[in-house]
Amino acid sequence: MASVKIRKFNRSGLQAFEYFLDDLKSNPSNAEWNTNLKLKIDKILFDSDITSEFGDYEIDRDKKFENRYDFGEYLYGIFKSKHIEKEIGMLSWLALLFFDQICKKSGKSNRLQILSKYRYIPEIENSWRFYRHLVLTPILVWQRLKEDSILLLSNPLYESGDAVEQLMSRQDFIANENILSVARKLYFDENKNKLKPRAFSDSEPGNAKRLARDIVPQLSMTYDLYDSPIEQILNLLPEEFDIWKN
Amino acid sequence: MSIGLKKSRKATYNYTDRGTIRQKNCHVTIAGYYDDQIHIKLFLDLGKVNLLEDQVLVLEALYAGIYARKEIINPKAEDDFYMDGFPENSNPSFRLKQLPSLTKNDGKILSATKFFKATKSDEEKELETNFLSFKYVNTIGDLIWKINWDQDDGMNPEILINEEFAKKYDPKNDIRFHALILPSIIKEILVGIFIRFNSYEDINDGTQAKRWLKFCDKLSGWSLPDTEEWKDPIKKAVLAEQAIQIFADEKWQSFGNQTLLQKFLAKKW
Repeated sequence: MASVKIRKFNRSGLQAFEYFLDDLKSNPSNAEWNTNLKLKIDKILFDSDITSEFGDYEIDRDKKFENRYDFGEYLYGIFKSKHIEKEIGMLSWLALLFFDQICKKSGKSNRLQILSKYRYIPEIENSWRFYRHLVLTPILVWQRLKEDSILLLSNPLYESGDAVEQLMSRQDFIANENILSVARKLYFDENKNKLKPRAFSDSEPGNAKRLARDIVPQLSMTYDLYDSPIEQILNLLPEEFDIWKN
Repeated sequence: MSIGLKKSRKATYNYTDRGTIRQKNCHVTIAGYYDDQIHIKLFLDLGKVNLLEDQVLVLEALYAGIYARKEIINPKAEDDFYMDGFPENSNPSFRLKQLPSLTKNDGKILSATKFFKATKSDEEKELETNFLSFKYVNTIGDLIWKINWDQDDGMNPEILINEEFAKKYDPKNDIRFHALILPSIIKEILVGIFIRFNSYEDINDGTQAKRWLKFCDKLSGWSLPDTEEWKDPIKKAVLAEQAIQIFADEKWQSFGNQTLLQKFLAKKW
């Protein structure tokens, strides 16, 4: 276990991280996961001119995570319910700390695939992008849903996931614990501890996206879903959802 | 039975007969943030309110997946309360619902607003942007910083920071900058404001100069110069010196639950 103090980037640090991402994107050969790249990352992570300690939090930088659920659970264990949404410097620093896990590796040379910058440096004021950050979202989902986060976070760390992105953008869905319990009941296979196949498939009647995108907003117009028992909500759903109830 | 109930133009399709609470009959302002709480003021047009026995209003607030609700049994024209779980400076969306009863609730909504944002006062709008802002330039030679008084007769002083310097030291976060340079900047701004204007009223609302004085006025042990003091250059110089002394003394100390610098950098001044 290699425990380090959590740090945050200052303005120059964020700039350095951006330059680093630009370099990897424009020179893919530099994105091969090897000792050189690790050293380069360490140099940015622990440069005291561009980073400083963030509170008194420690983190195991060598910890490996199976999926975003594990990642969120671990980070939730560190931050608990602390509001970290606006800590751009710290969230970006964490993205670089776990860079090899939040980037998909491909080929024999383990080349890291670099996505858009907002996946690594959060754009908090952009309501269409803030939840696409690869570190922030697992923490936020865990803070809201605890163990129920498995519904949205069963993907690998590098996959933000269509499900979570579609659902996080629906306030009436993500903020409503009753609806999330309904979704868990419908789309999660408790025995296999994973999502039911095709739960998010657009072509499947009564899929999770349809629930979040169409049905919940519709029912919210007429029913106080935040204060309705789960069974009552299940009974309100149209027939197309019946196949998911069993 | 309803608050300004408006029959929908698409009534033909409104099978549930749910009404609409007109937006003009209710609004919310945010009075402040305290730890994890948001302080809300709700204003209702009571002339339009006619809740039947047992009926209840529910104000909901939503922000980044955080949800809170407040049940209002006896609505008042102006009411205030706290909602938990909202971070500082969060800007939730609100929705007001009218429900049949708390005890015999079948889950139906009688009427509701659409989601709406809190109304901002003129002062809030003015203070929305951070007034301690730096402009990074390459036009001031080897100077580290300079105040530009050319905007709006000196009412909007700009803090120019040498771009080369800003690349190396992040002015908003570097403690050396805060400790060694920021006090001089603040002093020059305050002295500059005092020598350029003959009274507080001479300075237009919403300008940077007015906002600097409003901020200083909140400092303990300092108050705005009175009319006579504005005429006395020595007293004004002393006040600028005093303000900077308070900055120097308190900059690293707790100021409420924040350091003075954090407060200074916050938007609500």
